[in-house]
Amino acid sequence: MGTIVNVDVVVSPDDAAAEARADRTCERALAQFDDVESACSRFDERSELRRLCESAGAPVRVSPLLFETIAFAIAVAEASGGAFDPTVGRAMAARGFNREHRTGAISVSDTDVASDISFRDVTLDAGAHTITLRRPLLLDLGAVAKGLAIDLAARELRHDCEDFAIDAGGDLYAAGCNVSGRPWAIGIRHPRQADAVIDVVRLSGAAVCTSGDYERRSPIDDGSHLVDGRRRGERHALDAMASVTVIAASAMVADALATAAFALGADEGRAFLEAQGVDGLLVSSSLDRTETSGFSAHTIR
Amino acid sequence: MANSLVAIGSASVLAIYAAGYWRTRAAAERIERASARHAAPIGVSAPAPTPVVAPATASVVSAASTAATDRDPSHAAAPPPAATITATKAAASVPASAPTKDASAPSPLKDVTASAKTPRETEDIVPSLASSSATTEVAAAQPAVPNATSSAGPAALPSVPTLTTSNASAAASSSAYKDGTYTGWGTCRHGDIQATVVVASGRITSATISQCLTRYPCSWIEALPPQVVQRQSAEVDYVSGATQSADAFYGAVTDALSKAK
Repeated sequence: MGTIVNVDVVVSPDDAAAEARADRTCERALAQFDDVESACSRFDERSELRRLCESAGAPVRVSPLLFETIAFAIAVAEASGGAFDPTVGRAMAARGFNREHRTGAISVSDTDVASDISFRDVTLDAGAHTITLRRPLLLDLGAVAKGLAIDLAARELRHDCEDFAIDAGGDLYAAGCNVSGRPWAIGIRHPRQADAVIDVVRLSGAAVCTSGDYERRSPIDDGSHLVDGRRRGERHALDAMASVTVIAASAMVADALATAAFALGADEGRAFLEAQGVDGLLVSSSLDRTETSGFSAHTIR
Repeated sequence: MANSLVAIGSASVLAIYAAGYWRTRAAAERIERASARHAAPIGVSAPAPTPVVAPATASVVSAASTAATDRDPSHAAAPPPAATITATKAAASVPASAPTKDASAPSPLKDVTASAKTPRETEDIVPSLASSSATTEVAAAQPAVPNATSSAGPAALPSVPTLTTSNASAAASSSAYKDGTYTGWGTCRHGDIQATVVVASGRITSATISQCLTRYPCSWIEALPPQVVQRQSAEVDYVSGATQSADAFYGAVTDALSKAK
């Protein structure tokens, strides 16, 4: 994922056993990220995802991890009317998002983009645990995989630790309290100033994820890495939004819904988040703020 | 329709987590055996936490890791691709761990984090800069603990905290840093980093990585230095949407700031 993951666990200073336990738990939690990456990477040709994408036309039996992740991504695609769409992989690659972050190698040379490919070309069979890609396409699980890994890591940590926070490149899950004994205080990055925050939220037992157009830019058209699945061929199709932050019980949900809301735009995006029962802050590229009705309950003003 | 994605997502995570246990238990056991052969933690850069009176919370243990490294030989310490445990049948809900402690554990908590106190005279939260602690190399297997945290209903999102008074005392007691340029070292399991921090008018005006002796390329954490200034002004534990963070760098900053007292 090309992301540095940081786990903080709060323990009493005179409890060496708890500290040692926390150390081991942290390692197990971090191993979750490797698991998810090895299954879901679009860039690694050995990943299970890539093997699936090379087998278009036939049902492929996949691991529970990949099946559930793709099933969730498709569910978000359906709910967002295709604004969020995991089949944008080739469109992404065509815009230059095709570099394996570990080696720098170009991962996909075939960048034909059929403009009418969509999530509807993906068929899941929950009984047989198979996925069928009805046409050649490249799935991109970037908007769900990192959140999934955070959720899995949080599950791991919860067994031994009460107070912890996981930060995977600005997508976070926080449980319990920070070292000061208060719910974690999480700033939300200002989308146009790397060293400023536009808001601060209190978080405990929840995730906060932000999709921002500043994260990665296309080396080809300088557009954001965020793609509207309905208009994937268009450059700068998503100039309306600068960032969307979502708070949810699950980082995978928060991450995916932030990406979906980003593609939907301020008004539609807010309605979408409200309908899904999560809170969020949407910032347009002109820095206008739009919030869900419950968002301010999380903020420290 | 409402909440359907939340429900689907939670169910998916649970299914994956449960499946992961069966898939990876053998690997986890192998890791535990390897772990037993390895030496204990090494090289803690930050000072030991000072004893605290307040209960429950104090020092911060942390581990930084690069997600994405399982087959990268340059990351020998990265855990093997599979290692995970503990099936749980819990409903998809979060532990009821939330703010039970806030009232009882106010400001006097001090540890490495607190040594990087904000110079601001007013309000709120001590930035969580520090916390570096080397960790053992690999994971240990853990027997399946059926749902240690008895779940209690839906996500317990915190209400707006009622602790502003005690928060304020944490920061107000801190004095401003002395102006100057300071360097410090931080260590994590991926290597060492030297940070240079510039203090002007009692505030951190810049923080840079002056030496990067980590196994990962320094460019991976280039987003960190601006965060130091950012966190100082924002006084938060983390920043959502900021791309990177790493212990060694914050340890180095804390080390540098300890010289600015």
